[in-house]
Amino acid sequence: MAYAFGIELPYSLLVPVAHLRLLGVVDSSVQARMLGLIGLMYIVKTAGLIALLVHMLRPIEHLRRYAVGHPLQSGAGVEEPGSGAAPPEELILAAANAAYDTPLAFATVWAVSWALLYLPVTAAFYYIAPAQSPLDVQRAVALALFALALFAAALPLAYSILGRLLSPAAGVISLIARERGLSVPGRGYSLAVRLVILGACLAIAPTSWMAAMVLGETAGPAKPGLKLTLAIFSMVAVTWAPVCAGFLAGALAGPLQQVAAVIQKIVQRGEVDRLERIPVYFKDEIGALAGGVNAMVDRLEESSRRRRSYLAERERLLQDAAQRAAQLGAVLDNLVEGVFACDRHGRLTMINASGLRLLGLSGRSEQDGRMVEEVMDLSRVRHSDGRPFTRDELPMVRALAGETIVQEEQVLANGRAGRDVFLRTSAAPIRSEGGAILGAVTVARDVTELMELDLVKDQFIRVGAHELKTPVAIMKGYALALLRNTNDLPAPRRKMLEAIDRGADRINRIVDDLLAISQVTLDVLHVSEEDVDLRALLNETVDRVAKSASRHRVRLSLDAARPPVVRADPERLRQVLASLLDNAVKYSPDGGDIDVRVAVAERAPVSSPPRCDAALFSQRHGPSPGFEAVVSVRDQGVGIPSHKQERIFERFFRAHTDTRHDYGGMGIGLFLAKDMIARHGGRIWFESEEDKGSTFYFTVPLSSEAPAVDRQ
Amino acid sequence: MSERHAKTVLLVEDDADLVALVSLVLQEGGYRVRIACNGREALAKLEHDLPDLILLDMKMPVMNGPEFARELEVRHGRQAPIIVLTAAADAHRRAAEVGADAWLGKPFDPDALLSTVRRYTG
Repeated sequence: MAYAFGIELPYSLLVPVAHLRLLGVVDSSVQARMLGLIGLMYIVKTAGLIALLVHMLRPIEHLRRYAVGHPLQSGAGVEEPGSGAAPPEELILAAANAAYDTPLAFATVWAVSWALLYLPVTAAFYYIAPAQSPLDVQRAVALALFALALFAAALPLAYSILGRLLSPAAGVISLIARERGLSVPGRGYSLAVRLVILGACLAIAPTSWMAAMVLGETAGPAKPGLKLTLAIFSMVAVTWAPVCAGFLAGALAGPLQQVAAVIQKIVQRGEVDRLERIPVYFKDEIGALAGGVNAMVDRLEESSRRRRSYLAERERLLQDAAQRAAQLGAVLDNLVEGVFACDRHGRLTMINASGLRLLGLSGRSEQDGRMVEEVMDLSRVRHSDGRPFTRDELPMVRALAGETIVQEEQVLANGRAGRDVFLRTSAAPIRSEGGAILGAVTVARDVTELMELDLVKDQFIRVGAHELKTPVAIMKGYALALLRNTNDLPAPRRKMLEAIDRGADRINRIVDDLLAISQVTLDVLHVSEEDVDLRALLNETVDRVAKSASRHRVRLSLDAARPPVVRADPERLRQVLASLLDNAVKYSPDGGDIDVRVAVAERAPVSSPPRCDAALFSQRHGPSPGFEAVVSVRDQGVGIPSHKQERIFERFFRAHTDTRHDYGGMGIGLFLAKDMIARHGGRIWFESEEDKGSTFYFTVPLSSEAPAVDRQ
Repeated sequence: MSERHAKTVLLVEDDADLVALVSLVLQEGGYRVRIACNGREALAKLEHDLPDLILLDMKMPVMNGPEFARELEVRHGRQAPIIVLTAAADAHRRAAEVGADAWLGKPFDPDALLSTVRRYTG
């Protein structure tokens, strides 16, 4: 404030001199008295103005004092217990209003005070020096112009000075308001308007000043000291404008420089979050610019924060993905199976360690991007029956076409150690969420050892079984020879020989089953085809069983409307029937009836049989219509628990293992029966109830050559 | 079945007990039985005179059944019917391979043996 009035001081000394010249006061005692009066008035005016300014700036002072009185300590904030020293909103708003509005308002009052100060002085002059010639029109106009000049001169000067002085406070307050999210109401003054007013003042002040002086000097007779007067006037006129301009330029340039600096930093990609906010000194374009830059910095900071958190998240996800990929890679590399993946063009994208080993390749990176058929080397792949592979037959290529391949077998020539490698391969397409095929994955398992083991095992069973047959033949042969030749054999001896014969038969049947099962496993079981009269075959088999099953009554009945002559392998049919009858006897330990029936019926549609291998059936015989013999074997035995019925035809499955009905056996009879019946183009199924008994059925197609004659 | 002129059966079989059994059954049936332990021995015995029928085991040391049958075909052509004795499950196929006239699976009923032999010796 002192600074403001200090700047005013030289003008305050020069202006009264000019005023006295204007009034044409020459008498020095009058001059002294006039100056005394002006001085007095000036002091009064200044005191009034200071009081007004202090009043106007009081809100700012309140805010400052509030800030000093409420340092950042909790408990001091009465209004808002949570936020301690935060000043109340209305205090901030009032301070902001004061800071922004005071310069213009006060400058106006100040300029008016300057313009009006000399009216009472002029009036007092005529009172002090009545001898003066009365105020003529020219001198009155000169005085009016003088007042106007003072107004025009004081207004921009005061406004500039105050603006410059108050802008730091305004800036600080604007930042406080900004932090609290407050927008300061009140009018803004456009820079353009301010420049126009300044321009007007700059034009009006010196012009009216000079005009007033010229009018004043020419009003009376020429006086001495004219040159001095003009020099003083000129000095005033010439010096005040640069002073005004300097302050104004400073007020304009400062904020603009700060804005420029911030923008510079942003352009230079400095740390966005280290940028300070620009104080808003004036509510004008520059203020708006600063506000805009602040908002921009806010946005930049926000987006930088978001970007940083996005980058951190991305980094985390990438690490996650890398870790998962590493895990997956380790898992895949430690799989026994070879795993291959390709893109939708058939280019290899992944191969695991087992895959490389399987194909005898080295260097995983060399394989990337090669075509699947190159990597798998078509010339080396064969079907299990020896046919060469075409590209379109490769599981991977078929999977790319949408097929899912489960456990197909191939042979890879010249694989590990130069030997043929047997592969069991599965493949499936990789689909996008929309179902489009993105690629395919193939899993190949080396089953060479398994296959070899199977072969060895079956070889073993075959040879072993074969070796058993000769001793069995000797036992059975001698027993029968003895029975045949010695008619006078005592009954107990005869029974012993019969028992030897039956034992030999049982061993023989087990050996047959073992042989058959190894053949079924290798799929080399041969079924001959000849016309077989089921009646004779059933009679023979039933007789044999009836002989050994003393406690049971085995009955055979024939319901057929025509002779059941079937196209079949009699040995296999005998085996099936023997299995079913053996089971019937074995699982009805208390005796009871065993009914064997045979009927002829129209062949049922392929899909209807409940437990038939339909695929095997139609593969061998086609869906041709015709007649079939239906054989059933019913017992009144222990039955099959319902939860075990599903598995009854499985290899080595035994429904009564370790139960009180466990009467021994190897669990292969029904498995073989099912396979053999399927090979004949028939079906096999059963009905069973626990503790009530079971009925097994099987069908065999009738021989088409068989004469279709009615039973006579 | 005339006793005056007993038919001769050449039994080619390596198992001594089985040889004894078959011999017993055939002799009781009125046949003269000559024995060879393998194909080679059988071929040697055939040099002198041909039997009325050959009972041939498939699995033998030195020279097995199929080899013998092939050699026999080359040397003498088909002069005697052959009945195969085998323990193989696919006996009929094995029999067809060697061009046998009939087959008997082990174990066999002595009656069945005798009736089959009779069928082929008229």
